[in-house]
Amino acid sequence: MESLAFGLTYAIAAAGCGIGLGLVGLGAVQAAGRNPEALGKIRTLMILAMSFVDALAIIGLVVALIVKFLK
Amino acid sequence: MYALFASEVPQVTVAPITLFHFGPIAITNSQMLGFLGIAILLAVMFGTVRAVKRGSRGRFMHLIMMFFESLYDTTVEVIGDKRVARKVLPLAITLVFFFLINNWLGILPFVGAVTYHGHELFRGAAADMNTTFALAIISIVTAQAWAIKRHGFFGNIGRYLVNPFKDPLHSFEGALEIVAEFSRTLALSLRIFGNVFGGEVLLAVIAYLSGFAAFISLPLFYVLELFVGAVQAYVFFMLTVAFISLGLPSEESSHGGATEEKH
Repeated sequence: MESLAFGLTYAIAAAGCGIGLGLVGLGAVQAAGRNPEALGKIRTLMILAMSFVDALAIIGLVVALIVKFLK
Repeated sequence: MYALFASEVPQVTVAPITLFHFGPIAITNSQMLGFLGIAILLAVMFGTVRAVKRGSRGRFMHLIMMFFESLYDTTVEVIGDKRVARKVLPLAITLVFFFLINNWLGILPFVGAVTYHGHELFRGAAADMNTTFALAIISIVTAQAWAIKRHGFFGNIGRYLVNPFKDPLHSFEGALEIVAEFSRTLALSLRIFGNVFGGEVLLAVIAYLSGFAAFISLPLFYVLELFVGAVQAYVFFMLTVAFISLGLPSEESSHGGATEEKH
């Protein structure tokens, strides 16, 4: 049961962040398709937005680790 | 034979270990790496300043100057007012350089390998929640101080507490803003802590899982961690500047209130 909780804590966070990352990538690719000259700026913004979304999944991972190792 | 080559089962400790006491202050292993990072940073920066004053510019000095100038341009772009931006810069750029050098020092092999009385002597500075939370509090308090300087003390309170009979919608928005300030502090500190600490655990787990093949798989993840460390340092800087710019009124809307929070 505890292992399941450990897995699910990360899995649920990662599922939501996967959708979020997909949306960020979709937006960036569409923007690049419309305006290929601005690719450099779009890439910077995309990485910035991705790191925001990424952080949530990693916070989920850290919470899972804390629950597992700090009893 | 296998046990000789395979790395150990990763030991995860969330809290840093106290090494010794310096008077009443406990010195932890995260602080040790933090001090080392600050010492390296001071040496590099003073070296750059001296080289620029002498007029001799090497490649490394150029790199640091380019990085500094791009951060300067970003700050001016986000804040909009060049005079204010120049005052915000010292804190913001110190933060990005501090996190950058500590995130990169934290994944070097000597961290965790060097021990002192059986404990690890070094641990990533941002892999300690105390460091990141303290710096997040500093950046939020700075943002509040700028808002108070611009709006006045009661004007700043007026951004959060609006009379509900006059303006019910903005009063609700203002109440949400109070909660948002606290959640911003927590999210700002957890973001960089999670990335750095998660990165360390990731490296340990990859080293354990790959066993003999660690020399192939680990460099790839080291490159990933170098990238993540740089991006997270930049994100911390970006968010600090953005929070400060939220408290400053924009030119077109002269009336104070929660409307300025929308962008």
